[in-house]
Amino acid sequence: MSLTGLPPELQTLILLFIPFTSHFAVSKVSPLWSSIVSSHALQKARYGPKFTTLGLPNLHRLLNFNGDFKFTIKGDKVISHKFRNVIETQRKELGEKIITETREEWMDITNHPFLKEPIFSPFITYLSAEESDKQPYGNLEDMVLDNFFIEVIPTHSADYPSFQSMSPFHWSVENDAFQVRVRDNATIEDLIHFLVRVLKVNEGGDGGYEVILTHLWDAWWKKWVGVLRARIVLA
Amino acid sequence: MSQIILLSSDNVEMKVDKEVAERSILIKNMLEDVGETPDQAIPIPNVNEGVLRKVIEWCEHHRNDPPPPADEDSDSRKKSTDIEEWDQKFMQVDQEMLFEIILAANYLDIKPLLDVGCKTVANMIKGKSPEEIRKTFNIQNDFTPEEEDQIRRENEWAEE
Repeated sequence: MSLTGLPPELQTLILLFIPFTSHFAVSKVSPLWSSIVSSHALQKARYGPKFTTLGLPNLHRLLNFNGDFKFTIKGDKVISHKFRNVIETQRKELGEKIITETREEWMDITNHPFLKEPIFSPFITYLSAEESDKQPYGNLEDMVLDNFFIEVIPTHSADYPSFQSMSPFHWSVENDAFQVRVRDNATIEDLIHFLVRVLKVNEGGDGGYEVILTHLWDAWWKKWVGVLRARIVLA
Repeated sequence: MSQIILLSSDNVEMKVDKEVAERSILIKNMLEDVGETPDQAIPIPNVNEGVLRKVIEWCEHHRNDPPPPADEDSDSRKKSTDIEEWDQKFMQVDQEMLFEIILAANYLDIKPLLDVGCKTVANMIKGKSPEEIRKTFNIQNDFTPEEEDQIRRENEWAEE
């Protein structure tokens, strides 16, 4: 009996216990595992933790880590997408403690199917206008959009003072206007294309610029909101 | 305390406390259907002696555990890979036995044991590169040449 000899449903059950950070590696082991990782059962594990206290859509975990996802742009083209993968190199028992030694590697995830996944977990069914009125926080879509912002922060090396005026802003992938809404089904790829359009980086060295995304909580207008911060550095 | 007899796939009989055997929902339902403690051995056709002994050992240790919640998505079945110490030691077996235990737990419908088995394998997978996973579990790389080419392009690791 081997791992791949187990029925696919048991292999799926095993992979359900894999943390999100291992999804990329697991999807590259075999075609079956690739399809399991892309399945709805595991896709659910790629959203969260909750970014509001309500039962609202969660943010994709790729955007929910502290700088573990970045992409490189050169001119108006994205030349790579990378995810920081932490590999366990050694496990040692020191007395009662288990010490894990790790190394980090930036895994190229260009063209990975995860990039085509929605930014938010699929929206839950909208309440009717009547039901919505009864909700303390109003319409669900408004609630999501009022609680998520994108902030573009120019770094010292990037030196793009014009970005200051863009930050912070509501965003849209449908046009370049700020203060507009995100589509329900906007994907991570849409977000990247949108940022490339917003940033309009036409200079840079041979390597172009890296855009590092971090997600954080911030208090704005007397409430906590989720902020996606895009930091630009010379690649 | 009443006892029942289980018959492994290789025809070995094992006497077990009914309460212990009823950690298996399959056996529990069978006993409920029969209505009284059977005199004859209950055949377990998919599980051999060695694996059945391990499963019974686990059931003995966990005989007083509360029954698992019926709800599949309940908090207690959240996808944490934490395993209690006794279970970790219990699962220190070779890979073949580990997968046989998973199969048996699934067949006998012992969800907590199935979870422990799956978590043990998940812990062996996490934090490894695709190649290391294949090596650990002796998995054949059965991507087509086209898929493999795509993987190779995607899989260029750039250490920082």
